[in-house]
Amino acid sequence: VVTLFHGTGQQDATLMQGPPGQINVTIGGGEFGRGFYTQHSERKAREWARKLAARLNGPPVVLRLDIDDAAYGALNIFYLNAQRGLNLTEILDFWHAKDVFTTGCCDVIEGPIAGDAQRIQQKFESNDAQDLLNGNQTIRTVR
Amino acid sequence: MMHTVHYLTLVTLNSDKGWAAPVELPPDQPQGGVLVVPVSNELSFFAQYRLDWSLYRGAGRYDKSHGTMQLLSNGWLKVLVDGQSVKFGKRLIDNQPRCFRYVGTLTHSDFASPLCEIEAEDESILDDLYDRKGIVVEGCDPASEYGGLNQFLASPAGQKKIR
Repeated sequence: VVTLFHGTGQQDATLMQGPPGQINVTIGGGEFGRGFYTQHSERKAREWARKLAARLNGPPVVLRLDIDDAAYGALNIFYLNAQRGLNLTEILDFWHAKDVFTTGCCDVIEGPIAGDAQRIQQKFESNDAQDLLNGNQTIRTVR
Repeated sequence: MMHTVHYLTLVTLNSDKGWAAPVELPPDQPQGGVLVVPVSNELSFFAQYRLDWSLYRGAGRYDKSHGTMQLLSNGWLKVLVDGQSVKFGKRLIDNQPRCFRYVGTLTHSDFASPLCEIEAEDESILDDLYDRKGIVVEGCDPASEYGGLNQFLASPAGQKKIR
């Protein structure tokens, strides 16, 4: 099982949890463009949500995603190192495209948060990735 | 007034690279932050800092707590978090500390100083505190400590919810 975490407000987390899961990769953006973002550390996801409390729908919580190993491995994942991650963010900043850009080449982009190679994030961007997150091969738990 | 540990995000705003609070950033900014402390213009630690943390009680409920970080003679900052000793030092990348000015729009007396990222000497202690006790070491609370937040939250940018 691959376990990932997304910090958010309780109302949104409950909706995303479902069933059926309602994670939408076409809403939201970030350093690597439009998509749904996760990270490996529950603690860090909660820290981030705590500091955003005033902008969240409901109190800060964490959505835990336990994804079937084989199903996650079947996704097309594109890996960015720290420099390439920063380069992509700079380009998206220049074009004001963080909320619209998708690569179209893969299901998930994995790379560092703010160029920090010790803190890795995943951006799920394709319909296949969304279907996996919302389907029965992923256990979604609000914590 | 005692200096405080903050949780900020490294961003580039209007061509200025520096720290800003996650709560004041657009939804498409980095979804992470780090602990930072104000330092002298020579980038030296001050003698003490207040460190805030919370205990997660489940269902979105948290209890706040705090302690005092003391500067040790060997240059580390030491604090007791729920009885557990944790030491912090400046985070170095290529032997350089990550020190920048605050570039956001909120106010706090610490934002007049350079701010340097700190990290625990042993991150597994923080993971263990979280796993066993639900403790989130998080720095000060923007809602009660930062000026200008209410005005920002009333603005169109501040009303954009983050999912």
